[in-house]
Amino acid sequence: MRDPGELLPLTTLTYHVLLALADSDRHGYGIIKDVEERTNRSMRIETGAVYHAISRMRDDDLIEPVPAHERPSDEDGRRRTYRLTSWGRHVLAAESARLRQLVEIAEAKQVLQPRES
Amino acid sequence: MSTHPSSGPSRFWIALLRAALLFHPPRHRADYGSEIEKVFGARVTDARKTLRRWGLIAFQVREMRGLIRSGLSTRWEELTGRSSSPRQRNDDPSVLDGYGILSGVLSDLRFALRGLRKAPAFTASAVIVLALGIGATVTAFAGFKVAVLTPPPFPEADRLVSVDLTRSRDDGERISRWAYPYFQRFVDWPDRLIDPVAAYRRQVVTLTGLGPASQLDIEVVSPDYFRVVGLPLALGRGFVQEEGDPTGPYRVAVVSHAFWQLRLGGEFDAVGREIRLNGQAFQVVGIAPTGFSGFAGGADLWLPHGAYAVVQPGVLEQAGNHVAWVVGRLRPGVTLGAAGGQIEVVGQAIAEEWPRQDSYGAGLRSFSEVWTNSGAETASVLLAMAAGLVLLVACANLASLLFTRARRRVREGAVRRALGASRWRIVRGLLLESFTVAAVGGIAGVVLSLWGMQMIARAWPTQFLEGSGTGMQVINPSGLGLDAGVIAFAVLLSLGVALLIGIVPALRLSSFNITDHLKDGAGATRRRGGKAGIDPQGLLVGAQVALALILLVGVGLMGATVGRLLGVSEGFRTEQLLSFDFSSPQTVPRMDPRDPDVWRAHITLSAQFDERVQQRLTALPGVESVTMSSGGVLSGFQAVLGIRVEDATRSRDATSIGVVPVADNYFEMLGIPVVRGRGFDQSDGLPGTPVAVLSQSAVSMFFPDEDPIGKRIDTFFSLPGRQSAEVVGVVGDVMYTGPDQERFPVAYYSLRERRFGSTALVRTADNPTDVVRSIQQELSAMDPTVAMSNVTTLDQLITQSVGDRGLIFWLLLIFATITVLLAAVGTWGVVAYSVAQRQRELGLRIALGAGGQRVLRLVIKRSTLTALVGVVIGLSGAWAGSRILEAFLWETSARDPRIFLGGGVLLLAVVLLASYLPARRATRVDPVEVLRTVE
Repeated sequence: MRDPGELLPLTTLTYHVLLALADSDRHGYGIIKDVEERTNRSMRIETGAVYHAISRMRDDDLIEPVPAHERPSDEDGRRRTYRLTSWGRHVLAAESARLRQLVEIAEAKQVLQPRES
Repeated sequence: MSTHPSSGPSRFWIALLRAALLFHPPRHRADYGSEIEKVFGARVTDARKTLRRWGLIAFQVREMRGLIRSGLSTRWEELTGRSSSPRQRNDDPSVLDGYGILSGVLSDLRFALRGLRKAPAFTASAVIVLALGIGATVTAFAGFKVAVLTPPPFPEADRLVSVDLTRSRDDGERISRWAYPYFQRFVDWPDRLIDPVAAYRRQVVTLTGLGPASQLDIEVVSPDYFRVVGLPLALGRGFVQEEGDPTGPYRVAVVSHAFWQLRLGGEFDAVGREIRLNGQAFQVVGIAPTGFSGFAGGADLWLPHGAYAVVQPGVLEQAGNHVAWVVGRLRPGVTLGAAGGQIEVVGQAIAEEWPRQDSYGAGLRSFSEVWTNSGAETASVLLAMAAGLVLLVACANLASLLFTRARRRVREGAVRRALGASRWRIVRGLLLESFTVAAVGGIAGVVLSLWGMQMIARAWPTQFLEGSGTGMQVINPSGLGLDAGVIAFAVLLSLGVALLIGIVPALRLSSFNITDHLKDGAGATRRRGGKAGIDPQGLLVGAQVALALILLVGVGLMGATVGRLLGVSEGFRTEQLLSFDFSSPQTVPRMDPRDPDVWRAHITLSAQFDERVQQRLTALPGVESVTMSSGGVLSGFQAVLGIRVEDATRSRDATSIGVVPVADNYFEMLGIPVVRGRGFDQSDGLPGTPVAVLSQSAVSMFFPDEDPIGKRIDTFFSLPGRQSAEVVGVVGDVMYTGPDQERFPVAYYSLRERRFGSTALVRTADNPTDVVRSIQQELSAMDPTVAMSNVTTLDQLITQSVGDRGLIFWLLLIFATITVLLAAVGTWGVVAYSVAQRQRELGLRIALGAGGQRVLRLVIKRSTLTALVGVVIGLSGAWAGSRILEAFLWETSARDPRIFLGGGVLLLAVVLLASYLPARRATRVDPVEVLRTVE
């Protein structure tokens, strides 16, 4: 298997798109809504940028469109939905681990208080 | 923008989005285009819930920008084959754009922008200089486009011809209007090769019943008129053959699209409506093609010949009454030559049937020949050239500025090259800088030109409207504006300018020897042009001086012309004088030359109304005196008629004379001196004996060495039985046409003898335009069917009479002022820079005992020499170029040495002053300070 390290660090947008697809397959608009909701709309997301990211992530085999015959029949057939590939899930995990490591350093240096969960 | 609260984006934004998608590579667009559009729609619907109008607009703008940016990035990635990677490159987490930078050019552009931001004074002056140059040139180009490049706006215009009636005399042939009987002869010609044909003439009628009474410009036309025009009518129909029958009466009219919109409310049922012209009811049968205002221009309405019997009876039947222009279309496949041959035969037939001293003929000209105004053409070429000079000076100025900047940055260039930047990379960086400046300057210039075009359209002289030898308006100044052609021109111009100003400094900077400059330290620019060949900055300043001088001489020549024209005596007191025409009340019968009784009644009743108007207006506050005439001073004659001098023993050269019917107090009120005999009084006019007063030039023409008093003259178109009038007085010459025209002979008659409409002249205590309102109220109180028109002051008429030359003068003056200022500023900059650079040397000289005067001379010597060379070159250029102005000069030689000399001296003085001021600083250099601080 390839080394996810060569793709890291991910751009913020790429990371958010991967996160949006982590729990559910979504179409473009769904991805944008998910990111907006999760970040309390603190991010300005341009449609053009999202599709630029989608196109590139498909080239990198991080995500793929869900084939029509696998889609639930009640869904709007004209919209294309995307899902993570296993490679994409792998890269997402690697990036998350990298970020966690960064946060742990910040906590160790007491820049950030550890959250009590 | 849609007003529905929960709807998606408006069609406008969808269109923008599709345009923005064009920035994406086709494959990408095909793959994601429709999806992006849907997502955008859904997001706008969402955004409407939370955002107000401006927020929503901002959101949509951001989306468009994002789309363009992502499209460009995708293209860039495809182009460079760069492996697209989702790796993070953008450190600003608040904007989630995940794509790569357009490296190279973009970063260079950023670099250029940063450089410009860091030098705001340079940037601002560069943009202003360019805006002036480009603004002037774009304005001139738009003028040129309207005046020269605009083809006739009719379909198949290559088949359109002007059919000319010619009258030849010993001194040559001239093109004349047609009389209707001749036109009818042509229309009835068997197997006409020109079909359809149409005659048209301008006329003024009074419109009542739609708001206050008003005078309308109309055209009276033959039935095939709209077929010749060839454009589809907006509504209804054109005229049919029966309506061309001059005995009529057919009460039908076609109105202009503008008239329909403004006066008839633009309703579809306007066709069939009734309007009242000269007190008679007419039915609107059609709406003319949109934007069309007649071949003669300015028409609001068209009447067929068949309506003539109603508005102005009797005019059509008269042979020798030359009133109409004729146009037509060649039959398909017929050549101009073949049709021209037929027309010549028609001309011969007319000449045989109506023999005259100046015998008739007929000829053809294609529209491409007619559709030009030589004055406007020359003027627009001239002004385009002048504007080009302004732009050249602006470029020279900027190149000089950029050069100074480049010199300052020599070290920067050397360092960058030493660090491995290629020469091309450095040139590219500098070119980007000049492109950026040119782009901003170009945009500012286009904005400036919008204003310029407005000014020119407003000041467009009447002399620049009509085609040569026709009554046709061939130039439409309202077409002045930004269209695709003008914008393309502006863009190309800006690009050219960017190259012109950027390339020399860029090449120069990039070619400096690397090691020399790194070794050299702070005084890197010590090597000056003085020793090693020509100093490019001196060259640029010299060029500016030369070009500015050419314009300055042009202004001098035009100024002398306009001054001399305005200095021509009008022959009467023009101060505080208002002039306007007014229509007769509807109770006064129309003049009918076929019925002498009606004719007499028309004259008598009109004169009675005139006298009442005169009394009522004189009583108005602010009015000092009032007089009447038919046809005003300085606005041309209402009638130029054939004249016969009775008991003439010699043959007379002149055959026609301007005929001006006037009120009794006309000469006294206008201050026209009665040289011999008397003016008019109560006893003159109907029913007394016919008398006339001649102007001095008429006397010298018809009675060169005899006493004219008591002689009899006979002019055409007089009341039957009253043709012969006794000359009772001689008065001074008055300007009826322009100041550059020879004084035309004039015969005055009493307004109770004959008339061609009513013109009032009102002398006021203060500003003449103050009383217009009260005059209007007074007139409509006297009779609501009376309309005022052509309201103007004599001052305006005088300005108009030099309109074409005035426009050229003012534009040249503006252009010349800009260039002289630029040349001065350019000189200043170069001298100031050289003083700053030579501080060390100058300090040393002063330390070694050189006096202030000596140092000053040293600094100024160079710029003075440059300016002198520039003046010499400029004078030769002006000498060669002033010929172009010749067509517009009046009593001024295109080579007037005083003007050339004056321009040269003036410019030299300006340049010397501009170099003296910064040079003075050189004498105040403190040698101790300089020697201590510099190295």
